[in-house]
Amino acid sequence: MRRDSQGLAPAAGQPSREQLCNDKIARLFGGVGADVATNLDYKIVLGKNLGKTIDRSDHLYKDGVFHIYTDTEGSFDKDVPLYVPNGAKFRKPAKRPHGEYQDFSGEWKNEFVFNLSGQYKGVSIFFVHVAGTYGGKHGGAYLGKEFINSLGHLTRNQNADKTATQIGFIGGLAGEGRGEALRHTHVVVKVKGVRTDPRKVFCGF
Amino acid sequence: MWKVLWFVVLIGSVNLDGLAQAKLSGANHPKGCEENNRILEAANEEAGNSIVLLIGYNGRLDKNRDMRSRRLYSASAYLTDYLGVRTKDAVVTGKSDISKPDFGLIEIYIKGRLYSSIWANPGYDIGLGSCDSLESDDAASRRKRALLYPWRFKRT
Repeated sequence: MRRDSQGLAPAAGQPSREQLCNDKIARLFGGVGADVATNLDYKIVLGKNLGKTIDRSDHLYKDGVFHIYTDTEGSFDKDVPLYVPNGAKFRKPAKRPHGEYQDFSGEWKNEFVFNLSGQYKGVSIFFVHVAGTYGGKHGGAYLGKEFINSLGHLTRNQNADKTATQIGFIGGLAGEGRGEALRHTHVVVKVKGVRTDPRKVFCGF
Repeated sequence: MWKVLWFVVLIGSVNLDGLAQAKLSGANHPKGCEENNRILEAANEEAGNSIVLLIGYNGRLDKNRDMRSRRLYSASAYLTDYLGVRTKDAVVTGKSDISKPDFGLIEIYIKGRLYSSIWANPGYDIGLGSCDSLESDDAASRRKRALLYPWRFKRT
């Protein structure tokens, strides 16, 4: 279990407020086993430090970002669904033909944007490193209604309770988890165009 | 001047075990933004009060022969201006005239030992900071991104 933002361990058996919030975000956007980081993140370099965490708040909540992992180890061989809440509307990229692109480090990535509705009206979500996609040079261009898993098989929407819509799997292009970073999707949260702490948006911090 | 001396002293004492370890890791290829961030953050933590030494190499396929300077600038700025975890004096950079066969490279030395490496695609900057698109930026994140790549952003 991660420690809270003050670096204090919660009382025995008591998850911190931040952990509860991370769990809420994980349930909102991820399938069973998904794990979210908003402040402390996994510290992995050259295969060392498995399970250890490090303050990555500059990359995460201070930049309006959370990471959603396939599980607490960011397993690269698990296909965990990635969801948007029902009612979210897909927003076409303004400057690209589709979700896949090469950035100025030459790295291929994909990014898909949704505008939320209902209690989250005004919130837009940018999903970066989405798996289960198809098309483009690296298979990351488009979201489908069925999703290509890591074995290359098509799978259907896995959400049984119909409160959310699956858009793919956690951890696609540049987030596959075969290097020092574990398998994850990087998610930018904006409120009326401004990057906003996801804990504030989803948990009222 | 003292920075140059540091460079000479530390390069002179590079530990071969470190080099061998890096080779064994099979990590001699560009890894991407998320990994690069973590490598530098872990290096900062590992170094503690010691200096972080960054040595930049061009790759043979880098057409711009000073890509090493840009990459060194970004890596150094990530620790100093972007994260604010090191003073500028606590990060020393040096350029090597050796060209690496495939990719550009930044080697990270701590206490005279090779700690880790960041590889770069030929002709490209190294990915650091926000690992998302320019489209996802707001004014604040754009300013932060510009700290790492000032040559890509006009001053506002």
